[in-house]
Amino acid sequence: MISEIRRGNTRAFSDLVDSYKDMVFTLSLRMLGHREEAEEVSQDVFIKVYKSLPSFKGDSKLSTWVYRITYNTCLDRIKKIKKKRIHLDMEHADKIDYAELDTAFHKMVAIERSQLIEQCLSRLSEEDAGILTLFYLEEKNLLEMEKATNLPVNTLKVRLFRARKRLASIMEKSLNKEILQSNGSIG
Amino acid sequence: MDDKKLEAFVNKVMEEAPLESPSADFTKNVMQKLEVEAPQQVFEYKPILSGRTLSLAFVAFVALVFLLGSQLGVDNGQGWFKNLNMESWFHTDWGWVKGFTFSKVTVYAFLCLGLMFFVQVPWLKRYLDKSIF
Repeated sequence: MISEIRRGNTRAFSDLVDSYKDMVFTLSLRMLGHREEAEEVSQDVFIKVYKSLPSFKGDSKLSTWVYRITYNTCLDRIKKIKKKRIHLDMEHADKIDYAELDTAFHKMVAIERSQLIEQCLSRLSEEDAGILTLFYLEEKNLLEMEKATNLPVNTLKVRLFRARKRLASIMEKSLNKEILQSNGSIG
Repeated sequence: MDDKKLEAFVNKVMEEAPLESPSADFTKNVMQKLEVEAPQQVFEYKPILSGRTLSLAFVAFVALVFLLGSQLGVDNGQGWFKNLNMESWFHTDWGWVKGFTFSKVTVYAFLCLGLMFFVQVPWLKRYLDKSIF
């Protein structure tokens, strides 16, 4: 596919866009927190991919290389708009009972669960949301993540740990709120 | 211990996190943007000989014409031109064509060549259609 695109085959490139657009858009949306902005950035990402494809040496997976461009483009955009989401405190995360949280989470209907995840992810800082999303897009491969973010594995581990704690903390608060609300509506 | 539980919980959550989709005409928009931005780079016209080489060649040619003109004269009846015997160019003798024969092998070879050329045309057309659009 890459050699086809390098030869100027635009149909092959549109196939590439189709296969990666959801991943690129998801990463952009979680980092930027704004659909229109994420769409615009995702388009820029693919233009950059097309322009720099001749310099792609193949020393990482194509997907990793695309995520790297996405991650950097999002960071640039965040710097430009200077609208950072702040890190929430995570002291509270140490007191969470994960078994209870897990049960509460699985009592919800699937659609509600995905809505809640979306909400909670949007409340993370762009750094946390980006690192977490990339970790799962890269199928938990820290070495590929290192290539995508240019951050050493140890730093990634620390950031991942913090991001997980913050996400759990946000989820716990949101779930408690949901439970209170539903109890209120029943009572 | 709690760290393991935390990891397991977040794993479950993130695996359920839905992949977001951009607008329906996302790919179309990207391709349109590319068409606007990329053609200068992708289909950039590059002459085989640069302008500099062409102008140098032109100057050299003019200089040569002047040199020949000054050395050999410019009238038809004098200098170099009178040796050309241009009259014979317009009264060619075609007699040699009458006695000319091809061997059968040459005829078949030419036929084969022609056939192969026409086979290539649709093949090339399909290849170009596929790689350009």
